[in-house]
Amino acid sequence: MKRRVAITGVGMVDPLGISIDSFFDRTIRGESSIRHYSTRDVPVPISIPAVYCANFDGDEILGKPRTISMDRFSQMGLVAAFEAWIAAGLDINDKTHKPDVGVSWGTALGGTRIYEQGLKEMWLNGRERLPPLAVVMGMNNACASHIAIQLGLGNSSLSYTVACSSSSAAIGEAYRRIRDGEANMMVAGGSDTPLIYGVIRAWDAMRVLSPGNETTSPDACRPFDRSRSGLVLGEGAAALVLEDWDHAVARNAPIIAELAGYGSNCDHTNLVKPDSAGQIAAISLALEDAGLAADEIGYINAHGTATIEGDPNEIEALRGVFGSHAENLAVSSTKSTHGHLMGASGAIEAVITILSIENGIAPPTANLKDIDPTCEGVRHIKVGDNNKFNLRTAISNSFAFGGSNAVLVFRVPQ
Amino acid sequence: MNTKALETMQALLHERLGIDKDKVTIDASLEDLGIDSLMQIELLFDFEDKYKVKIPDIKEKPKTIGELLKVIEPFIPKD
Repeated sequence: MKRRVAITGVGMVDPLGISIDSFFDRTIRGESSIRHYSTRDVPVPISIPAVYCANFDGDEILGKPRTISMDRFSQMGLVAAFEAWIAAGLDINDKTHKPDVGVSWGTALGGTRIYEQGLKEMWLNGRERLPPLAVVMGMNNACASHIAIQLGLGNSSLSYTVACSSSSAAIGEAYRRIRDGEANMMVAGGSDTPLIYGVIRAWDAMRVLSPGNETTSPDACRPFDRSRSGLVLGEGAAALVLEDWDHAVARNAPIIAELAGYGSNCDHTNLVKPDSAGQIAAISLALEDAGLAADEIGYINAHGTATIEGDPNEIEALRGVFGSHAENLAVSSTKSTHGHLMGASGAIEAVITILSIENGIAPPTANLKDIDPTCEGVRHIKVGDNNKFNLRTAISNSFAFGGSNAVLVFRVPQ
Repeated sequence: MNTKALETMQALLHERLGIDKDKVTIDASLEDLGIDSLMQIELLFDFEDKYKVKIPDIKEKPKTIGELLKVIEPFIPKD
């Protein structure tokens, strides 16, 4: 007998630093957090549209000396995890050993920032040594480690680096741990801070970043639109508290939604070219795991990065899985407002999907005005459309470079 | 123990770790101040960086501010 998995808390680092409620309100209105961002103190400056959490100050929120050994991605992740933990009715000051609670975290880049700073000092300034904390700040499992230490999570500390599917995989694997009786609770999510000079230059070299200036940057991400011109980098973190259903009921925890299914696989065809057959298989696995028929799904939070090739490919996959139901299936890509958070994308989109079914309202794809004919065949939610309906179940898709697909199915508590 | 060494340590701990200067006394326990062995290494690195010196490896790990000061004091410039 598989155990049911409840979601009892969510948290995030909001791009505007206000609150999760105001973030969701803006997402529902299709208001963009994307701004024009310029690198500083670099040899050849570059400006791009991006989501930069300008108000985030880890030292101020978490306090020194806790932050001395934490890179920005760990600080953001810990703040999101704390928020989710509090929302689940738990005490962030309780560090007692909890052998039945673990953490499962996703990040694509980890502490790349600290390595770039070190390389700069060594190669440009001729320094011989790096700060002693560089290793523990830079390692990809740093954030998971900090969350486990701060909350006393003794069950497991797992980290997943699967490019843009990282945090969806982390959430899905955490779900399996609870479902299979390995843990009673898991903190799951992801964090990434890609606004680093070397990372921006690397993405720029791939020619997949959408251009923009001071005026046009908020509209730079246009998934499924005929005029789409690429993705927009963003930084941030989001976290969920997953819990065995009976465990949550027994402690009278607030159950926001059920994580009903998870599907994952690998396309193994191409490093960057998405494969609709692999995506169809991943979505089908998730539906099968949830025990749901395709026509029971009401909303898809699409991966939808606004690249020329990726968007039509995903819609093709949705048409393939959902058949005639696809025409009625509400679909949107919220990356149009919060950008592409790399390994944290799946987590922030999972939170949005959960809040969508909790509130019975689907967020729109901002900047979608002229649907590309190659992206037709589903019910695209645009800004201004009627988006309030009886949402019972919803899916969040994450499809990564390397062909790693991760699909999560959420359901209203019942 | 000279006053300058203590003031240097107080300033360093305040800047890096946000510790109130009046809590940094000779007898204060490093553990009570939240300074673990990893942070000690980072602080020594900061100190070496600030004064462009090289502190030899420490055989016995300091447990108090006073013991930590004994390690760095010989390397603080006199002026």
